[in-house]
Amino acid sequence: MIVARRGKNIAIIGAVCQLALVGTMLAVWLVTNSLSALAALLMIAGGVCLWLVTAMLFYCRQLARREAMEFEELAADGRASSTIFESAVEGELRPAVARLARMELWVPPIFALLWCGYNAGLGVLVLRHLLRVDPPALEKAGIGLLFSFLAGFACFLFSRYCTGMSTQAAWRLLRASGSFLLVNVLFVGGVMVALAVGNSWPRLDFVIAVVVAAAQLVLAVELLANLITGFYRPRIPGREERFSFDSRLCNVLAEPQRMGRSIAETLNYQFGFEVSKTWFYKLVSKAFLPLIAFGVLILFLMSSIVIVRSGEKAVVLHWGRPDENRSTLEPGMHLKWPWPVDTARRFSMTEVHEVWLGLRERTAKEKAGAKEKIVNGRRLELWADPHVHKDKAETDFVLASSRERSEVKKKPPPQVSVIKLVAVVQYVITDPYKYGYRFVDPHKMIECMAYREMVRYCASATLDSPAGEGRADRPEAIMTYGRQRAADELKRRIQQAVADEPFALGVKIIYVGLRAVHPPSDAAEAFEGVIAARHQVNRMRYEAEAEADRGLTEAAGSPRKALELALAIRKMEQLEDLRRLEARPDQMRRELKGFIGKARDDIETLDNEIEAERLLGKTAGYRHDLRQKHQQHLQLLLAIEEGPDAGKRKGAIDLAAEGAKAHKEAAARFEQATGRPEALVAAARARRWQLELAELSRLDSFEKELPAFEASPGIYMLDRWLDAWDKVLPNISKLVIGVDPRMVEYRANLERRYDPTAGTYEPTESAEKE
Amino acid sequence: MNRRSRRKRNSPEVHDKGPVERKMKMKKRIAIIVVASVIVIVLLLCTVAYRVEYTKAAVIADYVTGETKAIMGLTDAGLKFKWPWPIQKVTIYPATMFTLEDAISEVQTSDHQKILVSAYCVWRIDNLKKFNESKATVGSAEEALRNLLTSSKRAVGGRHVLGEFVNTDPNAMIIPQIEREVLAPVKAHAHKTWGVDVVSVGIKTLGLPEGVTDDVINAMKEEREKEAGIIRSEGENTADAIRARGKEAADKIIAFAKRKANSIESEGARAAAELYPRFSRNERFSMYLRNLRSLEAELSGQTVYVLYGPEIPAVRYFREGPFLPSPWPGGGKSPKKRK
Repeated sequence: MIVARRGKNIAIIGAVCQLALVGTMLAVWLVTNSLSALAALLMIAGGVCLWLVTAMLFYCRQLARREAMEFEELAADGRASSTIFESAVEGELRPAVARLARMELWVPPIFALLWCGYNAGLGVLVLRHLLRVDPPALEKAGIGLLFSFLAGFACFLFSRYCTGMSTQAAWRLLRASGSFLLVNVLFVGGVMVALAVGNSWPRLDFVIAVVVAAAQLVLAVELLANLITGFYRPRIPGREERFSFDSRLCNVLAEPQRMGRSIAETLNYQFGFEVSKTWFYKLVSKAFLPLIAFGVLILFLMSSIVIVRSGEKAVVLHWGRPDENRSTLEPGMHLKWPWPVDTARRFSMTEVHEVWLGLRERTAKEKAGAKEKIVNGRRLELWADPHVHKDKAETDFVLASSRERSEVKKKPPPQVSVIKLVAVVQYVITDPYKYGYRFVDPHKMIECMAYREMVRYCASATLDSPAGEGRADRPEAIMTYGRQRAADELKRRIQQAVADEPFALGVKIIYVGLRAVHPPSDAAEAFEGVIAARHQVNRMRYEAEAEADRGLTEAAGSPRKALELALAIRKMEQLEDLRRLEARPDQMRRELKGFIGKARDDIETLDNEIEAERLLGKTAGYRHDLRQKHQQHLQLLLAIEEGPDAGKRKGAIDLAAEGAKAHKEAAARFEQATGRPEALVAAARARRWQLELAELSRLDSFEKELPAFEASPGIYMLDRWLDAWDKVLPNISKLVIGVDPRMVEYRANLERRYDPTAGTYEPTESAEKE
Repeated sequence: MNRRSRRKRNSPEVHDKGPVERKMKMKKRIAIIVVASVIVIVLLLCTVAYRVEYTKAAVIADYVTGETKAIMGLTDAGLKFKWPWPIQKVTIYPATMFTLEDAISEVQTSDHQKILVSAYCVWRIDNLKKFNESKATVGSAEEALRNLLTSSKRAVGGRHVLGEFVNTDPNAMIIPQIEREVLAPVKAHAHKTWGVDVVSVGIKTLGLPEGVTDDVINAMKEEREKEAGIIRSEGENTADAIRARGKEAADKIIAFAKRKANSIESEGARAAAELYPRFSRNERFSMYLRNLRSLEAELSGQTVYVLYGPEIPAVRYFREGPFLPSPWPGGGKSPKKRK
């Protein structure tokens, strides 16, 4: 009974110690902002309940023992066996024993389950919290360190006392809580280390916090495993049971020598003889600590070796001071003073670092509504759908706009455009000293400067239209033809920004690419409408060209021939006109000006057509040659315009000669032309010969018939006259009337083609009779 | 001495231990003492020695004299010594440049437009003593600078029109000047208050509030629809011009061809005219023959010929008996005809 009461008292003191440790960690967390203190606090808080459960079980044992002693006293007096229902009502007579049995059966597994849930839940919550927040700067670390040390040291002594007591079977219950307290002290030690080196290594606080949270999760898993295996473990009477909440991992951490014993027992069992009694095992056992010390020494000495891999450079600081020459270690193995005298930091000089601009975290709504379009196993990115790059959404960039201000709306929107713009900036490190030791976060610095340059560029860039007059390199049409120029210019500007003092970052910008440049999805349809209109225009142009080509082909055999011939004809006509107006200089100058304007218009039209063909990926065909001919004609007209007035001075263009040349050229081209002109000329030639030959034929007849006529003019004339009637009359419709022609009224139905007189006379019955 | 320890000491096991085992135990104790001594020395060294790195700066506060000394790692890095706490205390600060971003916040321009602007600033601890005396930490300084930056950004933004932030004319877009204007008050106040040097301020993002963005997108849509209409009209005009140009060229060629054809035909007439003198031998007969040919040509085809019976010679013979015809066909009267 005394043993159990002592156990109960120790457990209550343990709960108080645990509570004190919780309070200390709470204060440390509040004072220093230490994340590791927060994580340790949440872990340690669970131990208070463990101590209370232990105290409760000890109390039940105390009661059971007291009851047993009372029974023993009764037995000694001979009263206990006087009852006739001795065996049947033993449970009723010994309620404390029964309570102890119930408690030991139900309380440990239920508590283990609750404790498991507590550790698992808080472990996950703490890890999530740690991943979301930026590690805060530690404050008043010295005070935190002091109180942590005092509380931790006191708890360490107490936990060692408890674990020592737990080696006795009667106090075995203290093993779980004592070892857990010792593990808690270890984590408090971790918090102390984090506080101690917080200034030089602030990241350690975060790392220790993560380790504590992870340890909580591991403990939760172990408790669950203990609980499950506890159900299936056979209960052997007389054998000591291990409660579910008694963590083996905590035991091992609290008493490392136990691990050695466990290993030895396992080896003995596996090999079938007492391995632990062999000389080798004894030697290893004796040399264990020296070996560990030797290992630590080796590790310490290894910190004096620096291995710089290919593509890397290393900077060595001696007591935190760099080399005077700012030298770096090249790839290979190097020696230095061991830590903490010398510290080495390696930089990869060939690794390409990336900064993405124009991306933001997606909202929950965007994540839920995101549906990727997959075509043939590949992602399809359309303007009309919001894009995702690297699991992030695109942000808006504001661009300048040359849009006309609306006069209809009372409050017109600002003169800007909105665009989705995603750019990637790639860089490599060129100077480790500048990159690694001038900025707290050089990568973030590069990101900020790249964003700044992007904002500045976009602020004066247009979306897809020319910006107007000005410098040739001004930002414009970032979405269309100015896209590559924008990327090149951004690269230049960012490089300059990160190279100039005081922000020289020791990097080289190797690439800036505009990954996406498109209008917002809401406006995509209107933008696509413009593209559709352009396609429609192309179609209209093709139709018109086809129609024009049909006419030109009909006119000269091919569009090329026709256009060249038309130009030659025009040239000839213009030169003829000018020659005609040579005597009237003013009128000639006016006319010439009109011809020059027309020539320039034609050249511009041809240039536009050539450009349109080029944009569509087609060859310009004969248009280049045609343009050249137009250009030559323009040059001639300009020479005429600029030259001295014809006939007055030497050097004037001879319009007559030029006109003759043009006429010759037109005639030559006309000769090559086929189609309708050829037919016209051929028909004219035919008529020409027809005319001449008909006249020749008539002359021939005349000359042959003249002798006959001269021989008998009257007969020959009558003969020829009658021959003519004989030839004509048999083939035509004839109406012979026998009355005086003056009494006849002629009516003709001209609508009836072959018988115009049909219906003009319908004989009546009386007439027939007559 | 309690009962248990007395029992342990008097137990026969203690008396049975040999000299070798006692020697080993002694060695073990010496080793423990050595290790413990090393640990204690290292801990003591930690209290009196400190390292100022190249990228750090240290402030040593002497609680006895009340003096404060600053050591800049950039110029005086290395291993240093001090008296242990509570005589002297070392506080290490980073001497490198920090980059700080403020929140994306709404700024109203002087022409009553709203824009979303986020800015960043680059800062470093310039006056260590002042920074240390102000009891500031890096975190608290960043928080204060963030507030300063946001206030200055809003104040400066309110003095400029939107066209000075965004403009197609690069000379009218004065973001660099706006950044300098934002920097000036932040720099002055931060240096005076915490000994912090704000080296630079930059605009990181420039956007529009959601409602304004919708309006701008609608305006962009209207603009595109208008542009599409213009493109279609221009396309129609271009197509008409192409057709007209083609027709003009074709017409010119045909006209030229007709001119040429007329020229050729006139050559035929000229050649025929050269034959006319040969008809002068008997012009009247020639004309008679030409009339007959014309008569044949004109009366060929679908012609209805109305004959006055008495004028036909054969009919006249029938009615009037035989007689010699007159020298002129038709007896001087030409037959009537209708086509």
